[in-house]
Amino acid sequence: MLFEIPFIGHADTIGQALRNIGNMFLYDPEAPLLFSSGFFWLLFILFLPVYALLKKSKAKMVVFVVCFSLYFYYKSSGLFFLMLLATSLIDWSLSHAIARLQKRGVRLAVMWLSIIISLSILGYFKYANFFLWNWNQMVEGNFQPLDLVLPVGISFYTFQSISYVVDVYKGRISPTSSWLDYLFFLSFFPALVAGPIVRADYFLPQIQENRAATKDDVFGGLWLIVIGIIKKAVIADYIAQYNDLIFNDPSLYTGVQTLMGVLGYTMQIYCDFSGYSDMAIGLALIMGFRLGINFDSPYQSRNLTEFWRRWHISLSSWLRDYVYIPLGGNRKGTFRTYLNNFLTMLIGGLWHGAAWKFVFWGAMHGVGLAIHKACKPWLGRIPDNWFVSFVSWLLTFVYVSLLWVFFRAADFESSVRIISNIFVDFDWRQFPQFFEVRMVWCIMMLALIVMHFVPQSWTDACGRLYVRSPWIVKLLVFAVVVQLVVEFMSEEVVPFIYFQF
Amino acid sequence: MKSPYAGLWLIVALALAMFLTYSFSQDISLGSWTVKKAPFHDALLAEEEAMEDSLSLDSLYASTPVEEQTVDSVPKSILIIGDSMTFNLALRLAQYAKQNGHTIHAVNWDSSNTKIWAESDTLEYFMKKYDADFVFISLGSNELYFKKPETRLPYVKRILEVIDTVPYVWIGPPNWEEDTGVNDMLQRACRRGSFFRTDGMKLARKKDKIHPTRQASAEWIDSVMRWMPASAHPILADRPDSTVGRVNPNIVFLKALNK
Repeated sequence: MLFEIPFIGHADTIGQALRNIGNMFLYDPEAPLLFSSGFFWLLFILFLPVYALLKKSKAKMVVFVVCFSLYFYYKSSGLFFLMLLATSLIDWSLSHAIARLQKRGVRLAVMWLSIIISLSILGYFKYANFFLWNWNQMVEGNFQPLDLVLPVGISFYTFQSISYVVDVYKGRISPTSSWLDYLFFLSFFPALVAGPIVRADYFLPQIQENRAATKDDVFGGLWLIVIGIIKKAVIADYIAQYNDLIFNDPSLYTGVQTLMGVLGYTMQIYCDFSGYSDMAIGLALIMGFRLGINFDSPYQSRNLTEFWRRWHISLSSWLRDYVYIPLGGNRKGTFRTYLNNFLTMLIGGLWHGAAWKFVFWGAMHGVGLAIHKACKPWLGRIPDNWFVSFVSWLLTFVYVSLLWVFFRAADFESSVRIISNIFVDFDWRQFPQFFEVRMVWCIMMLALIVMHFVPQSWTDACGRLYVRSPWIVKLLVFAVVVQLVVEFMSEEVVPFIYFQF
Repeated sequence: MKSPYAGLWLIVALALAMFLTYSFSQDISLGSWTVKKAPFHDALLAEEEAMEDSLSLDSLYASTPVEEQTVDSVPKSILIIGDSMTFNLALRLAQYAKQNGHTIHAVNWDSSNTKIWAESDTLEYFMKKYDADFVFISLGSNELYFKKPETRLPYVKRILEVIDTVPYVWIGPPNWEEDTGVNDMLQRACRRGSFFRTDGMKLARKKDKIHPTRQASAEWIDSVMRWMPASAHPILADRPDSTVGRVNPNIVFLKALNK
């Protein structure tokens, strides 16, 4: 029989299928809701017509999207959606208190109260075990980790809530008149679990405006989603399988293999994160909202300062505005500028995870930024030709890639082993054999490098071509990309790298 | 629903309908390439299939020692295959082979797993090449912490299909932490009395804290061979005496560029 009709005449099968469908809607810690999953698209098919119907009425649209976002968060993080509700209510109330109060000192105290509450929740879930472990190392006690589950995306929405309260305090924005509007901002599902970190002054006016999405928005959004799926679910998930082998047991591999694993992870983390960001930005665009750009071909950077202007832009600009500048920025002399830079990156490192390796990674980026700043007057005198550009790019790329080793490897010892492997056990003659054995992996990497280094105007032109193409072409492209995901799907769900941050 | 959402909805719905329909249809092949299916079928009927497995393959059943079997006294052509654990196991197994008159060949494929072996013809090739009539398998270490170990069951079954009627012992992975169910899955899949469960053993590890040391691997094989009489197909497994000394078996290393 060409087509199996599994449910006809099999009551048990129908019951089983219905139970399975029902279970799909429940929280499953083993299967977080990713934009690249089939279940998300099933939900989106249900979401879209209702959203289209309610979009004209801002109030109804807000209520519906908030409900959907909370369900989305429940599906990803279980009952922690209640904590999100509580956080939003506290922040919203305190922001109104700040706006009402006259005395500067009291307003400042309320702002700090809000920040401390937000950071305490983040600190408890994300850093409690890390601090307990370190404390026990110092006092040589027995470390019994707390049984904590990190709520998905807590680092992202905590930063959003802090920036909102600070902006209200500074008078940059007025607190939203409705709690639902604030909850909409904080829980907006495209950006909820993995960013981009949306700023209130940019996003809240969009809620009020409730702009209808144009055809260009909708299909431009779909194009971004297609690109995001290719990056995240096809390329990153595929190349991750080889990279994991190298990072899990570096002692088994030669210098050539290790080097390719390091390059692979450098591209994997970019594809993984920027791909997910593309999907989030695309989904928001479909709904008529703009989240801003989060990645701007970061590996084209010719120095570390430029890299951080292109990499995870929403985080780096948040750190600049809410950590670096409040610390004094570059207003308090040369030494303080370097120190502020270093401290900001240290906090950025710690934001990525509760482990010393992230602190080290952040610190080394801080050192790199300080060195670049210190050398700037001297660098400015070097003629800007293609050779200098190439050397600058190479140095930046190598530095960033090597630091990714510390970010990814299990511990410091493994990182050192990986790096020393590259330098100690390296034989160029192994490259042809590597290409032969890892042909698909190499093709993926090549495709990725091409995607990364083609001029932005070409990518934009492709997007416009897609938007203007007939619906059958759009369907075919979408279907082919989904089939590529199925073809390259790994046996295990490769979790989104930034999911737990 | 007004355009442009109508257009988008149709595109997404049509695409999903296509993938859903294909997941319940016969395979489409283009030459040697078969178009893979989105896992809708499995997702919808998952529990039913799992129930079938649990009914036919009781985990306790497989591990329970079989009724006492007569020892097969015919010298065997032993083939031991598997991941990076295989090398050290083969060294000790070679001493048992020498003591008991068997011949032994080993294929050590670093970082390999059940999927890699199932999807290649390597096992079939070496079984034919060495005319193996007893197989030891050491796989599962690289799948110990998979979230859904049952997804590896088809690969395990495929490997066992290749081995077919040849007697075998699957040496379970030496856990360094509690696994997520790989041992249970392997035990269910293997013939009764053909799976040696290693996860309870305390083994000294190398610096990587994963691989057992050479001495620990020798003790591991000693343990397998002590268990041999209770297995489904016992072969001669007398402990090597002091005259055996070090034996260098024929070991094929499959690791491409690996050291």
